[in-house]
Amino acid sequence: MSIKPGIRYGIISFGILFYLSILGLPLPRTLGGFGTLALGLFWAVLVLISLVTMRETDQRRYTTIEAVTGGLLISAIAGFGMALVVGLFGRLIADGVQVNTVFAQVLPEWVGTFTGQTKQEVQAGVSATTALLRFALLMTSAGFLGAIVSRGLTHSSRERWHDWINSPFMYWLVIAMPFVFYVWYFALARGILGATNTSISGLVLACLFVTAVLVALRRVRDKRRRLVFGIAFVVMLILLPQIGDQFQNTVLNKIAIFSVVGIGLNIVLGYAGMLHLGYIAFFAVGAYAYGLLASPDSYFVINFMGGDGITFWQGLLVAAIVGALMGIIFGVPILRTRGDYLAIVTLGFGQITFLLLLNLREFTGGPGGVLDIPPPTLFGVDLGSAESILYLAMIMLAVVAFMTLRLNDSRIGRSWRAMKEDEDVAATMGINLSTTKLVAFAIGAAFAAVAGVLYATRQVNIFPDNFALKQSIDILSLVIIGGLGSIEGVVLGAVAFAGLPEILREAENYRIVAFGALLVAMMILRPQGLLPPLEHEEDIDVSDRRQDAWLQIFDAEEDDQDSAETGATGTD
Amino acid sequence: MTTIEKRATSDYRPKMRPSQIALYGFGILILVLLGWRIYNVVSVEQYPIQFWAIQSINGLVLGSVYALIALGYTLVYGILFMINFAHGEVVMLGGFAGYFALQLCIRWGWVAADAPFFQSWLAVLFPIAVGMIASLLVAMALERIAYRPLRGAQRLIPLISAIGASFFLQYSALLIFGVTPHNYQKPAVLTGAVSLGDSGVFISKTGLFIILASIVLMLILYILVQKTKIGRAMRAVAEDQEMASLMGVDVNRIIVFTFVIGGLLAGAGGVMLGYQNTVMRFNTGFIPGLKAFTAAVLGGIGNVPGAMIGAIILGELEALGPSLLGLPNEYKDVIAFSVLIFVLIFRPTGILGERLSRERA
Repeated sequence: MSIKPGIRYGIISFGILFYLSILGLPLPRTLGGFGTLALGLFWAVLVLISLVTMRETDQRRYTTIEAVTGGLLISAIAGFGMALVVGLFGRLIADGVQVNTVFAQVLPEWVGTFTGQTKQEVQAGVSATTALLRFALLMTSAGFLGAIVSRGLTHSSRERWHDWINSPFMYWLVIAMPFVFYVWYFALARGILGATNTSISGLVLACLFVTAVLVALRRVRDKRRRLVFGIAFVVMLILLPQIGDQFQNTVLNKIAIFSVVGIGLNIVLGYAGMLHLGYIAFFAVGAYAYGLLASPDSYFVINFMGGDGITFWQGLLVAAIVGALMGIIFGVPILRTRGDYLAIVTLGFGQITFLLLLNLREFTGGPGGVLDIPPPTLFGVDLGSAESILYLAMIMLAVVAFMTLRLNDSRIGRSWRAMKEDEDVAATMGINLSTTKLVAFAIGAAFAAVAGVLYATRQVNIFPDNFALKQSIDILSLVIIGGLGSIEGVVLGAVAFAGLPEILREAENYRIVAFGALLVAMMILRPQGLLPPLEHEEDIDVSDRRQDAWLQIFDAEEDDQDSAETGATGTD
Repeated sequence: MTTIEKRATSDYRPKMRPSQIALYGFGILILVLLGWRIYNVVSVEQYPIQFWAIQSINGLVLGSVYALIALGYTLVYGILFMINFAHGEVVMLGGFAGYFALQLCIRWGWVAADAPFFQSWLAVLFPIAVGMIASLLVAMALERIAYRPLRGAQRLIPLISAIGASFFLQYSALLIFGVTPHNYQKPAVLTGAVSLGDSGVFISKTGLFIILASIVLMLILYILVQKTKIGRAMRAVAEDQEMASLMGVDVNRIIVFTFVIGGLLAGAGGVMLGYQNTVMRFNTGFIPGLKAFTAAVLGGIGNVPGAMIGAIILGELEALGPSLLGLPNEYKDVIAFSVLIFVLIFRPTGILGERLSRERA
């Protein structure tokens, strides 16, 4: 019967809705007119939950009656539970209890978004029983809908879905998407669509364009087509900075810079398999190396260089060398540590670098940072605009990506992969672990440092807070969300971690909460990342398994896991 | 035992390579330089002996809180081999729960200076109990939602999940409880200081309470792990999960139980952090969590006495290090992390980490 799961998921759903509500989602003042939308969100959450849970169990499929009972039970418990909570909070507020000393978001307006009352009415304690009843019934309808829709979803429909995804129509649609977004972006930016204030919406389109390019390149396997579309995309990318305004280009160049950093970390983590939690230190070293040697008010420039700082191009060289040296200096002591010990030691290095930047006031400027970092110039032309920096960043990204691809196919790349699989075996096969590790550290650090130079000139003023632990974790997450060991994945991750925060600036804290939840969900549902490296997908040796009867057990198990993932959330 | 077996089981130690000799030489050089620096600073600055005594007591207080938190890391690591990155947030949420319990106590008049002795102590212990229960629930939810589905996955994956959970909890707390710092008001019995004789050395009552309470909690933990049946099961699971499950130990239950213990200690640690710092914010747990984790690694992660020793060392380093080296107080974290790195260079598995074999580390 579906009574028991209905009650269980009902209570879980109530918990989710309650949590969302005390996070402050229904408050209009935080999300600008999101108030009613949030109720829509609640409703959608309930539809989704009853849809997923009432689809089928491990053992059997629910009958329609059971599914509807279950769905109604889920949504009724959640809806009436929420109504009860809102009523209770409303009562408490009317009685003068300061509920917001515990739940900061539960203000009279909070109650008002559920009951449709004004602030004064809530404070006066006007009864809202009908409004709450209406709310509860609205929520209950969600479960009914979810249960009905779940009837349409069967295993065969899932197969049909797969067929549809792999159909030629979808193939061409995926290829067409970058062009669609590009033209749309162009039209929007040129004012053809008549919209004003296009900064954010244009940025969304630009990010979608980049994402679509990555997905399309992934989809096109045929070599010749790949070349044709590849060239088309490259031309479009070259023209991209001409379309956008300054804001969009600023965000786009941040995405490109973080992609370079991500690719560097990808070498250390994705290829060589060493978990580095203090990676931002190298980025900081690059940025500060250039900043301190180029900014006219830095200690070094004033005292040792007679007031003349180095140029951007010299800065790139210096940063690459200093970064690689730092990678080796930080690398030598930790050659013997592995796994989680390596993680914590590198975290320690990152923290030490950050704290030194913060506290060595005479040299680094302390919390005041390094100011007035000069822009790059070429033959006397100032390249400090967002557009030129975007070009520089794109060139840097291309160079770094090319180098990484070549490195990965080289002898050292194979050594990294061998070392990642098993250090002891790799050592036995004649790979010098120390050199291999140090090369990975040095190259990864040099990439990050070079990106740091560009970042410093982009920011003009840099502060230690730009290089705190949180950024290190951001970079780690972007590499993993994108897909460990894949360059397209890193770029996609950079879009998510450098682009989205700008788009969702108003809802920054909600974004971080959502990202946290997303990270957990991704690790459970798709741990290999959004765009994992291609060979990884292909070398699941299914054909090998088919030859050995006993290995087919694993295939069967995998199928089970698949159905468990998409089916009920709790399988115990 | 035959010769061959003996050779196979005996501790095989390769000869020192030149690079290792260089490394040790480098280590000794640094130690000598440090010693020289400390000698100079101490002989020049001429701090009174009371100063050192007070500082080391402060270090002990700090170390006790770190130890409570570090035990949560180390217990989980010992069993699941994963860094529970969200543990600092468990601490923070326990601290918040304790704060609200304390507000209740204030309303009941238990915190005021003229409150009766018994009630005044209740005002100390009730928030700790509430904090412990809240942290326990959070830790259990964390295990169920974020970690259990990932059991047996690659090592990086639970770590990322834990990082995600950490951000989720931290910023949830920011949104739910608001940005404004929540001020802990100390109950009457914890205000003021105790003087140790006429020596001029004194210890704040809060500090004394924290040290004693931590000792009690850790003693209980010790008895639990060493003397009870479930403690034995825990140790068995830490040693070899599969073998333990064959012997009839319910591994799932033990893992949950480990998180429960970690959560209980974290909750107590969180409320004590509140009493000590008198303020609670959404990011209060993060840095102490990081430090406690450092302490656990310093002592040898997965090792219960190691976590305690590491925590005390870390606390003392933070309290004494800057004055010993003649550096401003902002450098205390630099010193702490440098010592961590220094120790791990020469003992890659921490101070007491001998028990962990190489492939597990």
